[in-house]
Amino acid sequence: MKNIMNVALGIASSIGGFLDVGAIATAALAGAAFGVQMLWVLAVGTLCVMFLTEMSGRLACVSHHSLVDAIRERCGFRYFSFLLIGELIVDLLVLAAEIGGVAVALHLITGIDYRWFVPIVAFALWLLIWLGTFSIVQNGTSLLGLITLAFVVGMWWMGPPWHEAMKAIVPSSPSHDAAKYWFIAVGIIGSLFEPFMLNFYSSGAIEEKWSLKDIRMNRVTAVLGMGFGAMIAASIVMLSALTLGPHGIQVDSYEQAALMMVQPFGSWGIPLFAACLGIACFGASLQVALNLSYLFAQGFGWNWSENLRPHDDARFALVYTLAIPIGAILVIVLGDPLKITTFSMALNALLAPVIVFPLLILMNDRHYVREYRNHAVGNIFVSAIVVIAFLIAIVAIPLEVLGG
Amino acid sequence: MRLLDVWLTVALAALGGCSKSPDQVAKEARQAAASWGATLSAAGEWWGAGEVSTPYFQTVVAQARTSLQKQEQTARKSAGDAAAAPVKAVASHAAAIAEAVTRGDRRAAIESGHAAASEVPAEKTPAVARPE
Repeated sequence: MKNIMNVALGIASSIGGFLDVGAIATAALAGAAFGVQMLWVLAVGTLCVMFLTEMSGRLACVSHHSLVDAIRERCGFRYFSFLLIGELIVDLLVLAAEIGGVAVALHLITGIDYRWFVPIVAFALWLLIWLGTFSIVQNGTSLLGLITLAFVVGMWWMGPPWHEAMKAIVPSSPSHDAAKYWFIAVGIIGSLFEPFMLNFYSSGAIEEKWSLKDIRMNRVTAVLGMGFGAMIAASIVMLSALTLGPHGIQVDSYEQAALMMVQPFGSWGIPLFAACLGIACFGASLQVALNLSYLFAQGFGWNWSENLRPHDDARFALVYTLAIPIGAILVIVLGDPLKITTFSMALNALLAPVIVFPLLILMNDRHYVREYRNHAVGNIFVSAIVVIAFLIAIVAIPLEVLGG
Repeated sequence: MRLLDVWLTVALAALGGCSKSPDQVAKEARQAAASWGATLSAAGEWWGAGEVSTPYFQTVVAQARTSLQKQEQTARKSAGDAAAAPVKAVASHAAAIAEAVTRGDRRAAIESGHAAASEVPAEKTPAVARPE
């Protein structure tokens, strides 16, 4: 019974990790602009992230190292420094996007400028991490995040085009706006391969003292959790395709994205969308802020645990205490949370190889994972997808930035 | 180092090919006008039917006006007045909607929303977009 509860909580947590501002925004963009055609990107990316999540959990179960800790040890400090700088930049942007997502959710309900809410959200975020334990932070927000199942209900209510959705699992090229199509594709992949999520997952496994006996639970959690998360993201694509595209509405702002919930839910639609966006982003921003602390603390060998009181791991607490206001300032200075989101998701795809390839090296190293090494299929599949996403990203990002 | 060279070459090539032609700017301006026109029309209908709240509808209208204003400036600068005209037309309907919301005149808001949508008919994406 306890194992079932653990798996259920793990799945809920994975949904929380999977569904954040990036997944919601890129799925809404894709559905409004290209119907269900881009579901294949989501399918391929989800399969890949299932492999990656399972690997980072397995690494923690067998070696008792978090991902960053092991990379630092195996690849050396110079490589770690490169990873640290890249992840610091991307995570701060993602944190800004997540804080912006919560602020926009409050703006959708109240009509007050989202920037007024940014400091309030940032303070609430910091306070919860400062006072909370890992299980409160992780499980509390993840369980609340189940509200995002509203997207699935809305999609069912609208009558999804199952036959066409199944056909869309096969990769296809766009009939129009190729640059936009591939930029959104990179954004979807980036929203799935968020590097923070892999290290957060393995750090969580260490926090919860996973061991060899948890390997099976890790596998079930990774597959079902990511699978459920993908189901919700696919529902957003279909809901957006069924409600926004046929009206000719493109998603250039969250105000437009929110309209996808009005047809299925009527007057509850906008509050429900705001609740889904706000809770998903708040949960994800907790994870990103904590991951920055994990990144520094594990890399430099400081005390670290969300379960310790702040004065017992002061430098760990200092990192999130600095990161959260920086994220808040970024969202105010850069403006337009949707643009920050799509751009940071594309940067995730660019950064993915920097963390994924060392993970693959570790997962084939007997010293770390003993007889629990990777199979060739996982190595080849993950490498291929990450390289393809990286190559598309280095072309699509400049095109999108300068080409609009 | 070699990987860095390849990355820089590809990125610079992509950047070099990014300057937008006036036709492209005009097309983007038209698409933005059409999308915001459709948004104002649909949101206006739902506001009229009481399915979206007044504060939310006001944020949609305000966002539409801000986006259209930016788009109009860009279009005028890069592609001339003709390219900016459809954006300006939709923006003027958005201004009329904002006034109607202030007065609480739902009928006028709905009519202005429809007028905005008919100014530049949107290309409607079917739920099942046909791949090439």
